[in-house]
Amino acid sequence: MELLEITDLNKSYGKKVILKNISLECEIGEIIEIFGRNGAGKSTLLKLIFGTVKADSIHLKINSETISQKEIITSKKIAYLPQDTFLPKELKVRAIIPLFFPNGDEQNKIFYSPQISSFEKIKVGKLSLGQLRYLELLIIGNLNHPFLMLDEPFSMIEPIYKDVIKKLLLKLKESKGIILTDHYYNDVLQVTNKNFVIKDAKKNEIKTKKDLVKYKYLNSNE
Amino acid sequence: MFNVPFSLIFGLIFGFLWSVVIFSSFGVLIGYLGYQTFKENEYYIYYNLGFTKTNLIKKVWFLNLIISSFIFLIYILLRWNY
Repeated sequence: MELLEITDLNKSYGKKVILKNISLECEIGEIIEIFGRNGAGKSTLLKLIFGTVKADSIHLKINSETISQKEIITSKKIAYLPQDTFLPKELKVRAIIPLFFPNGDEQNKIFYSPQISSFEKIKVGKLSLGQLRYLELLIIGNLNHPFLMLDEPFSMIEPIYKDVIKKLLLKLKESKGIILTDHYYNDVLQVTNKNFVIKDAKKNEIKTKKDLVKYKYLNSNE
Repeated sequence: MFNVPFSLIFGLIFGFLWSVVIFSSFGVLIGYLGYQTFKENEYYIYYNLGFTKTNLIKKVWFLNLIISSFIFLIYILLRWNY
């Protein structure tokens, strides 16, 4: 069982402490949610783990082997779904899939996934937000990386695609460890194994929805 | 996308050979700045495929150098024959 361990994670911007002494463990078969108000440091946390934002300090281990931030991208152990779209708008969906999957069998896995045939001939720039997010998640999720960092996979998407994405996440967790952030807590709580909230730069465990109120992520009437 | 038009415009003003030189040198920087400004999020395609930004810049620079050398060689051969 592959295990991602993050310890001693610290990040500040100037005098503002964003994340303080964060530790996190994620193994294959788990989906971990990180809640937090806007600006709490959720996206920064994922980028620090992926290695695209430099940490003040971080200790990463994959299967008990230490890996530096600089080695994460080239190791292909962690994939990252950014908050904003990253696929070229001018290319058709059918042209993008081979960029990520040169192998025919791997391409077929994507082409024959639910819904893809309905928009494979369309340019990325013409897809609905739901179609685009689903396509991005499908691509990132089918890479061989054992761990996924997903920044707001449910953001701004229509209800029909929320269910498709939830099913996809549950399927992906059979072979991957997933850490995600999102504000759609009702959808998120249906698929996660562990939940945390970042408050005042610290990580707090969430056991029930009431804890989200306790840590002032939700108002008591929500 | 950014380097080719820049090098061609440079070549139209200062001569063909300059466009070849610029394409494999200063143009790489223009390409990087253009991509960084207008298509920054597309870097995540390459990151997820295992390429860092430094890897990419080295590969692009090396490729442009090969293309420029090839074009320069053809230019010399044509000059030699005519």
